[in-house]
Order: sequence, then C-alpha cells, then structure tokens
Amino acid sequence: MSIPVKAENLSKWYGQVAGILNVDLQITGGVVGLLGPNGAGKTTFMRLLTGQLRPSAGEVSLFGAPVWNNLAVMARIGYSPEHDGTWDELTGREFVRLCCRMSGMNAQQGDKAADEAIAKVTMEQAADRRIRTYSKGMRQRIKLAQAVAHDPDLIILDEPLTGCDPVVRAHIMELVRELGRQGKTILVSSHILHEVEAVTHQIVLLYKGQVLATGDIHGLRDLIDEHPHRIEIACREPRTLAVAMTAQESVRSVTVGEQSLTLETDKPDACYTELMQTVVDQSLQVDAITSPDDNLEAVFRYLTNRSATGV
Amino acid sequence: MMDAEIRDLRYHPYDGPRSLSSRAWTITLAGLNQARKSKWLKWLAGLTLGITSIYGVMLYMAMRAQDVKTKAGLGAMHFKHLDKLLQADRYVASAVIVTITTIGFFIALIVAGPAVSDDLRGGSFHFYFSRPVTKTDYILGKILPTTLVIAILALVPAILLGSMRIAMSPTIEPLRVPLMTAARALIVVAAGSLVMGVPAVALSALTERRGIARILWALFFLVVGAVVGIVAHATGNKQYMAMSIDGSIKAFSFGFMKVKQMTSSYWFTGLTAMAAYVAAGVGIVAWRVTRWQTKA
Repeated sequence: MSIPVKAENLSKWYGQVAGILNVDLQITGGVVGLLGPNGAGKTTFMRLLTGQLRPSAGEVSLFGAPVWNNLAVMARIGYSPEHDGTWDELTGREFVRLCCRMSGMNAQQGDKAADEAIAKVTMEQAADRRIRTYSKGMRQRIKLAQAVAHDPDLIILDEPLTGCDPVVRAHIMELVRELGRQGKTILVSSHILHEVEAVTHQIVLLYKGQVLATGDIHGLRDLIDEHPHRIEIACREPRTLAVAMTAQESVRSVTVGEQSLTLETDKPDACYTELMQTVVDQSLQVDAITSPDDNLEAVFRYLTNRSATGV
Repeated sequence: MMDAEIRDLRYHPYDGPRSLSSRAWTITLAGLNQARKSKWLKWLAGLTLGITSIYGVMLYMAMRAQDVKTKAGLGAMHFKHLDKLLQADRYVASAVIVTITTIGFFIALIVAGPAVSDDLRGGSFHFYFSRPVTKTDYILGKILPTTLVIAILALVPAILLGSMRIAMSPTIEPLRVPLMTAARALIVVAAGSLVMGVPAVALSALTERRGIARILWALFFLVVGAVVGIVAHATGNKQYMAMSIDGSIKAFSFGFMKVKQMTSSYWFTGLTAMAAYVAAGVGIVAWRVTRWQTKA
C-alpha cells in the first residue's frame, strides 16, 4: 500500500524567506498532530500537502503520486483551513453540497453526502441558515463537514478546535478519533497541545520551517536523555521515601512536599525500578505516581527552547 | 405498529461516482445561484422589458412606414435620411446594444463585484484549490455567471425583436435577410456580454472589498469612455470611440449587423478592443490565482 504522505527534500520559499525548508517526512496513517509555534510553517506545509502551493524544491506525494496539479490525488483530500471565511451568502447546507460537487461527486450523491456530514458535526438545526449568521464554533463545524463529506482518504484540519466551546471540542475530538479508527489519515494542527494529545500520540513538530521531531510523544520523551525527567509521587510518608530515594544512583534531586515527593532523574527507567523496589522494601503507601514531563506540552517546550538556544 | 428494523450506522466507504471533469460549471452554477438572490436583478429584468417594448414600438413603426413607402412606389433617392431611419435592423441592433451596455453595466456591478473579491476576503481559495479544481475551472466559473446573466437579459430584445423583424418582413424581402439579422443579434449578445462581464470580474480580482471592486468597475467603464470620447473629439478621429468598452461593443455590433452609424465603419477596431478587454481580464484573474498559489 502506498504511503499516504511523503515529503522529500520539500522546500517553499517566499522570496528570501523559507516557509518550509528541506523537509523529509513520511506519514504512514492514523491521526497525526502537526505542532509548532506561530510562523513555524504549519499552514504552508498544509497548503503544500493539499496541492494549493507549488513547492519551490522537492516533492510532496500523497498515496504514491505527486499532489501538485494532480486532480485524482486532490479528490482524495479533505481540507479544513484555519480561515473563517467561507461563502457567507450561502447556507451551511449549500456550502457543503457545493464542496462535495467540487470534489467530483454528482449532485445526487453530493447532496446525500453533505447531509450526512452535517449530521456528523451536529449542525442539522442550523444547516439552512446563512453562514454569515454562524458563530465561530459553528463555522468550525461546517468547515469540518465539508472536509469529511466526500469521504476523503487524507483529512487535513488546520486548528479545527479554535473558537469551539468545550462540548463541541469534545465532539470534534471524538469525530477525529472515529475517522482515525475508520482508517483515514488525519493531520491535525493545533496550538492547544493537550487537545492534540487527547486525539493522538503521534506528532510532527515543525520549527522554523523544518521538522524538529516526529514520532510517538512518549518515545520522543525517552530520547531526551539529557533533560531531567520529573516523577511526582503522592504518598503519606514523603520524608521516609525521600531519604530512601536520595541514596539511589539514578536520582538527581529530591523535593519534598506535604504529602508528595518530586524526584528528578536522568535515567527514568532505572529510577522507576528503584522507586518500586524501595516502596516494597519499606512497605510505604503510595497513592499515585505521575510524570509531569511525560506530556506533549513539556516535550514541545523543551524541544523548541533547545532549538532556539542552539543547545 | 412499526416493523422491526436495526439500522446499520457503521462507516461505509463512499463508492459512488467521482468525476475529475471540469468543475467550471459547478462554480458557475454557484455564482448564478448567488446572483439569483439579488433583488436588483428583478428590477433590471423589468427595465430590459421596458427597453425592448420601446424599441419594439419603434421597429413596428419603421416597418409599417417602410411598407407604406414601398407600396407608394417611392424610391430611396429622394428619402435618403428617411431610409436610414426606416432601417429595421437598426432598432434590433440598438435594443440589444443598449441592453448590453446599460443593463449589462449594472449587472456587472452587482454580480461581478463580489465574484473574486469575496473569495479573497474570506479565504475561499482554500476551498477551491484544495480540490480537483484547476485555475481554468476557477476563471471560467467566475466569468460565466456575470456573462450569462447579461446574455440572458440581452437575449430578450434579441429574440423578441428578431422574431418581430422576421414576422413583419416585407414580402419582397428574401427571408434570409431577417434571419441573418436575428442570428447576428445573437452573436452580438454573446460577444457583448463577454466584454461587459470579464473586465468587471477582473477588477474584482484586484481588491478584497466588493464595494471597491464596484467603484473600480464604474470608474473604469465611465472614465475610459469619457477619455476616448475627448480624444476622438480633439483629434477628429472617431476611431478612438471604438476603443472604450461600450464604444467597442457599439462599433462592432453596428458594423457586424450592417447598420450605418457613426463608428460602424470601425467595427474591426471595436472587435480588436473587445478581444483586448477580454484577454486582459482573463489575464488579471489568472495572475491573481497564480499569485495566491505562490505567495504566503
């Protein structure tokens, strides 16, 4: 089976400024989070993937074929841009139907697919109102509907959660997860990291137009050996545990709280083993063990800071 | 009592038809659907019927007078100026031209003004060009709605007066003469509508605001017309008058329909100017799309 997304030495220059620079990347399927600070090149990368922009150098191919000027490949893409602007004079239903027809569906099939997609994003009630009367969250949902209505194989969502209330956010995230389970390849860009984390652990981190990191969030965390890893332990006798853990070789520092203990370590695997051993040996009661660094936010912050400072 | 039924709500991949043929007509239909919602179009349609009626009366009177003159055995020699007035084709041509250049001006203002500017403002290019829509599809899809609306309204006098011209044709006149008049009127409608539509759409590709696009179109139409009029008057060369948008349509149309008029002998200049307006307009819209596809 051909690879859904493959970028080879992909670059896009805007005059003297590089939007995307020498990107080599493969996305083999599933839900993938596209992360990066403002100006990292996320939108440029998405526009290159959707065939809206012509690469200055290199090539981007979807399902084994170059995307630029390739109508057959473009028919397999669903794209929800960050822009709010849609056809304000159209109703939501007219808009999604028009998008289906532009994706190659005939009128009958397009209308049916549009109605189904509108139901998926729970916009049936407002579907016959003009888009100019929609709130931000409703616009996001109708954009999502047009992106998925024609049953594309690759769905690219640029900041799909912006402006949505918590209920709608949860619904959209569940829809993204469901599309992923159906075998679609989905690329989601968002600056709300915990929401990306809620739908996927696979990320592509863009920074200054280049791919800074790719892969599973936990795998990435493990790669950052030199970055101290924190382990928080909620327990009844933090001082006893602190004394015992201070003696361990893997522990770099210990901070004791009222009913908790924070360990800092360079060797998380060894530290976890020693911690478990100590708890058993001393018959201590532990309520919870968490790792605040083992999340997307921490990895993102660490990697971008490291690149910015050149460390 | 309802029949027992368990619905299959699982995901089913779409296996219906997917066409990769041109999407221009889809975009055109969307544009026409938008245009249909304008209340002004109804007024303009009414105005077109008014213009057609006035020219219809004039055509009727001209043809009746021509008939009387022929029956009285009066030759053309003594009534040179009257013959000019009694030329039936003049009224068919004039009705079509007036509809295209006046009603067409307002249609272009209403329909073409937001055609591309709204897409630029709202970022709708993302929705077009992330789909199997080519640049040609987009350009055609934006130009055709304005052109078609102008053409549909201009067809009213062309068809009604053309038919009247055929029906009232004197028995001594070969039938092919009024038939040719009607056929030429249809060609004038097609060419004139294109010339009125394309520059207006092109000007809407220069700005993100539909109001400014409309002002640009009005200024372009009126200022170019005024400038060439002044130049023609100052130099005494009427050929310049065939270079403005409405002047080119008039020159070409009267010349093509073989109606003697001030600029009808410059019909080729008019045709060249019309081609230039269309080519420049298409070029501007194409440039806008290319620019969007290459810039941030």
